[in-house]
Amino acid sequence: MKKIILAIACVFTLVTNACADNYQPISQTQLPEKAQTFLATYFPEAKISLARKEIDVMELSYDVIFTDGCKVEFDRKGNWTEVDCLTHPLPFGIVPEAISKVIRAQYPDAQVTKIERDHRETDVKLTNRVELTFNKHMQLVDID
Amino acid sequence: MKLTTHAIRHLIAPLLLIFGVWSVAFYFILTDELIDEIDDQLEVYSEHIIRQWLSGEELPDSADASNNTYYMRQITPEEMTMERKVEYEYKNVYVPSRLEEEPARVMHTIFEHHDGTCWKLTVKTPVYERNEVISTILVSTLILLVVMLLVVIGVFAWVFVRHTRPLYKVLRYLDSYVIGRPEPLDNVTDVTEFEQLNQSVTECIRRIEEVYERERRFIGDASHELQTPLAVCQNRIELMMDDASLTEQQLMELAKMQQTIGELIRLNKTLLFLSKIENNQYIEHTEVDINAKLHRQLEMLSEVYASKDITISLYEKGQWTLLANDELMASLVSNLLRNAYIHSQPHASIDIYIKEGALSIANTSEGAPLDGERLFDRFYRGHQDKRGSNGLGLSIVKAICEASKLKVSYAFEQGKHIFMVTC
Repeated sequence: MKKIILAIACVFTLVTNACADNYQPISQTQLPEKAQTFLATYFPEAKISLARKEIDVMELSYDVIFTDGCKVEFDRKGNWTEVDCLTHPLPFGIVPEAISKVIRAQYPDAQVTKIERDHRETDVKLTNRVELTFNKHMQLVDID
Repeated sequence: MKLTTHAIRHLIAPLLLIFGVWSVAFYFILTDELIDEIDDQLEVYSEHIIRQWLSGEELPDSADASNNTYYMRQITPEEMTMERKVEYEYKNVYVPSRLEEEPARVMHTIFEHHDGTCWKLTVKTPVYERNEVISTILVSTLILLVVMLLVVIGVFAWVFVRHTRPLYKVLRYLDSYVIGRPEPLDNVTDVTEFEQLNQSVTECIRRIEEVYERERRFIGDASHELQTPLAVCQNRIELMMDDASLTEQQLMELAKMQQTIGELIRLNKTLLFLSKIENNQYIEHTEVDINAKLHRQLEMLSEVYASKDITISLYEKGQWTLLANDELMASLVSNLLRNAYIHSQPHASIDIYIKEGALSIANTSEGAPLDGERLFDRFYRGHQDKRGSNGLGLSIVKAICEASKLKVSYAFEQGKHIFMVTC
């Protein structure tokens, strides 16, 4: 009987922990170092409105919203996964050189407002509302 | 307890544990996922509002078609440091489109404006069906648990019963096995263990039969071989008694010897008879009238045992004729009656009942019930040695019954030993 109760308790804690998917507010200093460096490099002037840590079943991620509405998301290690500035262009240097070369060639007037990446693809949104998708070799695969 | 029941009993506890834990986990994961989904929606919604507002764009209506509502208010920096920046809760809120209070999930987010002011955004979404959904999940999880348990046990029982069938067949075969009359074991199976069991049982029965056969042959042969020397012995004594020079004393001794040898010859004959019955040498079958046999034997025996003054009560409830060997039936009735006579005290009574298919002979007894197991064994004589009994009568009865496919049973009721022969 003791064993059964123990087993149920174990499962219960496991389940509740695993499902504790929510947002925890954090301060800037609680971000991974890499993320802090990124913010200092590209958004030195910007003021943080809200910084949060998202705990999901399997992964941990961070997001930061600036007072101008820009949002940056980081993964567990502090690498950025998304930078979204709504209508403003992104600070120079975030978009990989291979991608910006393609954009300069095809849409010389447009600028990047949002970039999102995962281990397979990179999505880029331009000021002229065009969305481009690149594979991991930085080749253009889709235009929307 | 049957093997299947036993196995199922031991299966229920671990199954109940596994399925139980699994159900509890399943229930919590599902309900948590439900809340999670709502929280994710609120999060997306509040992020959208915050970013729109921060970037200076126009905000959406405070209540849109999805029934989500929000409001924003400025808070003091002190409040900001005191309260949690992101908070969820359940609350009853007034929903204008339904004109009543409804349960809702509420999310508070505190953020800073670029002018340094602090703001608190509260977003709400109604969760009318939440309790219904959760209770549905609970009920279906329970139903699933019970159904799974029943199905698994059902399948297990079915598989188990199917697979142990050869075992029960062997058990039934062993139960019905009668020594001296082996039947082939028909139990086809692919299972190695059961095949092995079949072989062992068959081999075991073959050996028993062999030993039994050897013993039977030995008794037959021995009594056959004894016949001639015994007869010669008897004749020599007879010749010797003719000698006129013998004294009275010597003659008496010789007469006693003669008598003992006579008994020995009778005993030997009985043994030979027994072995003949067991060897199925009485194959001639005719219609035998048991009632007639009974009358004839009674007539003879009442004369032989006239000195005992025994009262015979014969109750003829019907006529019993059957297809059997005439000689064997005569011996059967004679041995049963003789047994009753021998083991009755003087002036006692013997009750005989006969009807179609059954004959019972009861004699009053001064003693306790006899050992029903050993009663029909050769040379079993109960407690005391009675004159005129060689201990083979009842084993002859038993052998005749087996050879003629009749049943003989013994019972002790109201101080009477009752022997019953039925077909």
